[in-house]
Amino acid sequence: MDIQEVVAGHVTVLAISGRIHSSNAMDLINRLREMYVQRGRLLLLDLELVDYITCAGFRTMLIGRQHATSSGGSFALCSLASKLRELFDMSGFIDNFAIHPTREEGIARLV
Amino acid sequence: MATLQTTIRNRIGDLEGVRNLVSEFVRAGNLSEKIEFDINVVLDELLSNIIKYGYADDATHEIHITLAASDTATEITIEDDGKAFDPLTAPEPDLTLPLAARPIGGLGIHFVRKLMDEVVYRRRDDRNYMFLKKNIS
Repeated sequence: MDIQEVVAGHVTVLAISGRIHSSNAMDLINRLREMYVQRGRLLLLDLELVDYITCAGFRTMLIGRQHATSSGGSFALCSLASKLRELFDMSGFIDNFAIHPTREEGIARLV
Repeated sequence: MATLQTTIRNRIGDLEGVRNLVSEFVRAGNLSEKIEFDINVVLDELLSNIIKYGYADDATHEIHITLAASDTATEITIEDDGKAFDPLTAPEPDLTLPLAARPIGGLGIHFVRKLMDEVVYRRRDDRNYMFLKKNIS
Protein backbone atom coordinates (compact mmCIF):
# COMPACT_ATOMS: atom_id res chain seq x y z
CA MET A 1 0.00 0.00 0.00
CA ASP A 2 1.21 3.48 -0.91
CA ILE A 3 -0.38 6.67 0.35
CA GLN A 4 0.12 9.88 -1.58
CA GLU A 5 -0.99 13.09 0.09
CA VAL A 6 -2.26 15.93 -2.09
CA VAL A 7 -3.61 19.20 -0.75
CA ALA A 8 -6.35 20.64 -2.95
CA GLY A 9 -7.54 23.94 -1.50
CA HIS A 10 -9.32 23.20 1.76
CA VAL A 11 -9.34 19.44 1.20
CA THR A 12 -6.56 16.92 1.84
CA VAL A 13 -6.65 14.01 -0.57
CA LEU A 14 -5.05 10.71 0.40
CA ALA A 15 -4.62 8.73 -2.80
CA ILE A 16 -4.15 5.11 -1.84
CA SER A 17 -2.76 2.49 -4.15
CA GLY A 18 -2.15 -1.23 -3.79
CA ARG A 19 -3.73 -3.50 -1.22
CA ILE A 20 -5.25 -2.68 2.14
CA HIS A 21 -5.26 -5.74 4.38
CA SER A 22 -4.68 -6.96 7.91
CA SER A 23 -0.89 -6.50 7.69
CA ASN A 24 -1.00 -2.80 6.84
CA ALA A 25 -4.44 -1.55 7.93
CA MET A 26 -2.94 -0.18 11.15
CA ASP A 27 -0.56 2.05 9.12
CA LEU A 28 -3.56 3.65 7.46
CA ILE A 29 -5.44 4.01 10.74
CA ASN A 30 -2.43 5.78 12.27
CA ARG A 31 -2.19 8.07 9.26
CA LEU A 32 -5.89 8.98 9.52
CA ARG A 33 -5.55 9.58 13.24
CA GLU A 34 -2.64 11.98 12.60
CA MET A 35 -4.70 13.82 10.01
CA TYR A 36 -7.57 14.40 12.39
CA VAL A 37 -5.41 15.68 15.21
CA GLN A 38 -5.89 18.96 13.41
CA ARG A 39 -9.54 19.77 14.04
CA GLY A 40 -11.83 20.46 11.15
CA ARG A 41 -9.78 18.53 8.63
CA LEU A 42 -11.58 17.71 5.41
CA LEU A 43 -10.30 14.41 4.11
CA LEU A 44 -10.95 12.62 0.86
CA LEU A 45 -9.69 9.07 0.34
CA ASP A 46 -9.15 8.37 -3.34
CA LEU A 47 -9.42 4.59 -3.77
CA GLU A 48 -9.09 4.44 -7.57
CA LEU A 49 -5.76 2.60 -7.50
CA VAL A 50 -6.63 0.19 -4.69
CA ASP A 51 -6.33 -3.40 -5.94
CA TYR A 52 -8.37 -4.80 -3.12
CA ILE A 53 -9.47 -4.07 0.37
CA THR A 54 -10.09 -6.76 2.94
CA CYS A 55 -12.32 -6.58 5.95
CA ALA A 56 -9.42 -5.20 8.01
CA GLY A 57 -9.04 -2.39 5.49
CA PHE A 58 -12.75 -1.86 5.52
CA ARG A 59 -12.68 -1.37 9.26
CA THR A 60 -10.07 1.33 8.66
CA MET A 61 -12.62 3.30 6.66
CA LEU A 62 -15.13 3.02 9.49
CA ILE A 63 -12.54 4.18 12.00
CA GLY A 64 -11.60 7.10 9.73
CA ARG A 65 -15.19 8.11 9.61
CA GLN A 66 -15.45 7.90 13.40
CA HIS A 67 -12.33 10.05 13.80
CA ALA A 68 -13.84 12.64 11.45
CA THR A 69 -17.09 12.76 13.39
CA SER A 70 -15.40 13.07 16.77
CA SER A 71 -12.97 15.79 15.63
CA GLY A 72 -15.49 17.91 13.75
CA GLY A 73 -13.94 17.04 10.38
CA SER A 74 -15.41 15.50 7.25
CA PHE A 75 -14.54 12.21 5.61
CA ALA A 76 -15.39 11.07 2.11
CA LEU A 77 -14.33 8.44 -0.40
CA CYS A 78 -14.04 8.66 -4.17
CA SER A 79 -13.31 6.70 -7.34
CA LEU A 80 -14.22 3.23 -6.08
CA ALA A 81 -13.73 0.48 -8.65
CA SER A 82 -16.74 -1.78 -9.10
CA LYS A 83 -15.25 -4.60 -6.99
CA LEU A 84 -14.70 -2.25 -4.08
CA ARG A 85 -18.14 -0.78 -4.50
CA GLU A 86 -19.61 -4.28 -4.31
CA LEU A 87 -17.87 -4.91 -1.00
CA PHE A 88 -19.24 -1.67 0.43
CA ASP A 89 -22.72 -2.63 -0.79
CA MET A 90 -22.36 -6.05 0.82
CA SER A 91 -21.27 -4.59 4.14
CA GLY A 92 -24.50 -2.71 4.70
CA PHE A 93 -22.40 0.33 5.58
CA ILE A 94 -22.49 2.04 2.19
CA ASP A 95 -25.17 4.56 3.17
CA ASN A 96 -22.98 5.74 6.01
CA PHE A 97 -20.21 6.96 3.72
CA ALA A 98 -20.08 9.94 1.40
CA ILE A 99 -18.88 8.31 -1.83
CA HIS A 100 -18.15 10.42 -4.90
CA PRO A 101 -17.55 9.16 -8.44
CA THR A 102 -14.46 11.30 -9.04
CA ARG A 103 -11.80 13.11 -7.05
CA GLU A 104 -12.87 16.46 -8.51
CA GLU A 105 -16.45 15.96 -7.39
CA GLY A 106 -15.33 14.80 -3.96
CA ILE A 107 -13.23 17.94 -3.48
CA ALA A 108 -16.06 20.17 -4.64
CA ARG A 109 -18.61 18.53 -2.36
CA LEU A 110 -16.51 18.31 0.82
CA VAL A 111 -17.46 21.10 3.15
CA MET B 1 -7.18 -29.71 -11.39
CA ALA B 2 -4.40 -27.18 -10.74
CA THR B 3 -3.42 -27.17 -7.06
CA LEU B 4 -1.08 -24.92 -5.10
CA GLN B 5 -0.19 -25.32 -1.44
CA THR B 6 1.69 -23.34 1.14
CA THR B 7 2.36 -23.45 4.86
CA ILE B 8 2.67 -20.28 6.91
CA ARG B 9 3.47 -19.58 10.56
CA ASN B 10 0.99 -17.88 12.85
CA ARG B 11 2.49 -14.46 12.04
CA ILE B 12 0.57 -11.67 10.31
CA GLY B 13 3.68 -10.91 8.22
CA ASP B 14 3.44 -14.37 6.66
CA LEU B 15 0.17 -13.39 4.95
CA GLU B 16 2.22 -11.66 2.24
CA GLY B 17 3.32 -15.11 1.11
CA VAL B 18 -0.33 -16.14 0.85
CA ARG B 19 -1.15 -13.09 -1.26
CA ASN B 20 1.72 -13.97 -3.59
CA LEU B 21 0.45 -17.55 -3.81
CA VAL B 22 -3.01 -16.29 -4.76
CA SER B 23 -1.49 -14.14 -7.54
CA GLU B 24 0.40 -17.17 -8.86
CA PHE B 25 -2.72 -19.34 -8.62
CA VAL B 26 -4.83 -16.81 -10.51
CA ARG B 27 -2.21 -16.42 -13.24
CA ALA B 28 -1.71 -20.19 -13.61
CA GLY B 29 -5.45 -20.86 -13.80
CA ASN B 30 -6.17 -17.81 -15.97
CA LEU B 31 -8.79 -16.79 -13.42
CA SER B 32 -10.49 -13.41 -13.25
CA GLU B 33 -9.45 -10.39 -11.22
CA LYS B 34 -12.77 -10.69 -9.42
CA ILE B 35 -11.91 -14.21 -8.22
CA GLU B 36 -8.50 -12.99 -7.06
CA PHE B 37 -10.14 -10.17 -5.15
CA ASP B 38 -12.65 -12.49 -3.49
CA ILE B 39 -10.04 -15.12 -2.53
CA ASN B 40 -7.78 -12.46 -1.03
CA VAL B 41 -10.57 -10.91 1.04
CA VAL B 42 -11.66 -14.31 2.36
CA LEU B 43 -8.16 -15.63 3.13
CA ASP B 44 -7.08 -12.39 4.81
CA GLU B 45 -10.11 -12.50 7.05
CA LEU B 46 -9.95 -16.17 8.04
CA LEU B 47 -6.16 -16.39 8.40
CA SER B 48 -5.80 -13.16 10.38
CA ASN B 49 -8.53 -14.42 12.76
CA ILE B 50 -6.69 -17.72 13.27
CA ILE B 51 -3.39 -15.88 13.87
CA LYS B 52 -4.88 -13.31 16.27
CA TYR B 53 -7.33 -15.45 18.23
CA GLY B 54 -6.63 -19.10 17.46
CA TYR B 55 -3.85 -19.96 19.88
CA ALA B 56 -3.68 -20.15 23.64
CA ASP B 57 0.15 -20.04 23.67
CA ASP B 58 2.88 -17.91 22.08
CA ALA B 59 4.48 -20.83 20.26
CA THR B 60 4.97 -20.99 16.53
CA HIS B 61 2.25 -22.96 14.76
CA GLU B 62 1.79 -23.96 11.16
CA ILE B 63 -1.25 -23.15 9.03
CA HIS B 64 -1.70 -25.03 5.77
CA ILE B 65 -3.47 -23.44 2.80
CA THR B 66 -4.46 -25.26 -0.37
CA LEU B 67 -5.89 -23.63 -3.50
CA ALA B 68 -7.36 -25.83 -6.22
CA ALA B 69 -9.03 -24.86 -9.49
CA SER B 70 -11.16 -26.91 -11.85
CA ASP B 71 -13.14 -25.73 -14.87
CA THR B 72 -16.15 -25.01 -12.71
CA ALA B 73 -14.92 -23.98 -9.28
CA THR B 74 -12.12 -22.75 -7.09
CA GLU B 75 -11.65 -24.58 -3.80
CA ILE B 76 -9.74 -23.36 -0.78
CA THR B 77 -8.78 -25.40 2.27
CA ILE B 78 -7.33 -23.97 5.48
CA GLU B 79 -6.01 -26.33 8.16
CA ASP B 80 -4.72 -25.24 11.55
CA ASP B 81 -4.01 -26.72 15.00
CA GLY B 82 -5.54 -23.83 16.96
CA LYS B 83 -8.40 -23.86 19.41
CA ALA B 84 -11.62 -25.37 18.14
CA PHE B 85 -13.46 -22.50 16.51
CA ASP B 86 -16.24 -22.55 13.94
CA PRO B 87 -16.46 -19.05 12.48
CA LEU B 88 -19.84 -19.98 11.00
CA THR B 89 -21.34 -19.95 14.47
CA ALA B 90 -20.77 -16.17 14.63
CA PRO B 91 -24.14 -14.45 14.32
CA GLU B 92 -24.92 -12.57 11.11
CA PRO B 93 -24.50 -8.83 11.66
CA ASP B 94 -27.73 -6.88 11.89
CA LEU B 95 -27.34 -4.60 8.89
CA THR B 96 -30.49 -2.70 9.73
CA LEU B 97 -28.97 -1.16 12.87
CA PRO B 98 -27.59 2.37 12.60
CA LEU B 99 -23.82 2.53 12.12
CA ALA B 100 -23.02 3.69 15.63
CA ALA B 101 -24.96 0.81 17.16
CA ARG B 102 -23.52 -1.86 14.89
CA PRO B 103 -20.55 -3.94 16.03
CA ILE B 104 -17.77 -4.07 13.44
CA GLY B 105 -16.93 -7.64 14.45
CA GLY B 106 -18.83 -10.28 12.53
CA LEU B 107 -18.48 -8.34 9.30
CA GLY B 108 -15.55 -10.44 8.14
CA ILE B 109 -17.39 -13.75 8.27
CA HIS B 110 -20.35 -12.02 6.64
CA PHE B 111 -18.05 -11.20 3.69
CA VAL B 112 -16.80 -14.79 3.63
CA ARG B 113 -20.34 -16.18 3.43
CA LYS B 114 -21.34 -13.69 0.73
CA LEU B 115 -18.25 -14.05 -1.44
CA MET B 116 -18.09 -17.88 -1.38
CA ASP B 117 -20.68 -20.34 -2.64
CA GLU B 118 -19.92 -22.99 -0.02
CA VAL B 119 -18.29 -22.65 3.39
CA VAL B 120 -17.85 -25.74 5.58
CA TYR B 121 -16.11 -26.11 8.94
CA ARG B 122 -14.87 -29.40 10.40
CA ARG B 123 -13.00 -30.26 13.60
CA ARG B 124 -10.99 -33.42 13.12
CA ASP B 125 -8.10 -34.88 15.18
CA ASP B 126 -7.74 -31.65 17.18
CA ARG B 127 -7.42 -29.60 14.01
CA ASN B 128 -9.67 -27.01 12.37
CA TYR B 129 -10.52 -27.35 8.69
CA MET B 130 -12.28 -24.73 6.60
CA PHE B 131 -13.42 -25.80 3.15
CA LEU B 132 -14.47 -22.99 0.83
CA LYS B 133 -15.78 -23.17 -2.71
CA LYS B 134 -16.36 -20.45 -5.26
CA ASN B 135 -18.16 -21.45 -8.45
CA ILE B 136 -16.79 -20.07 -11.68
CA SER B 137 -19.68 -18.95 -13.82
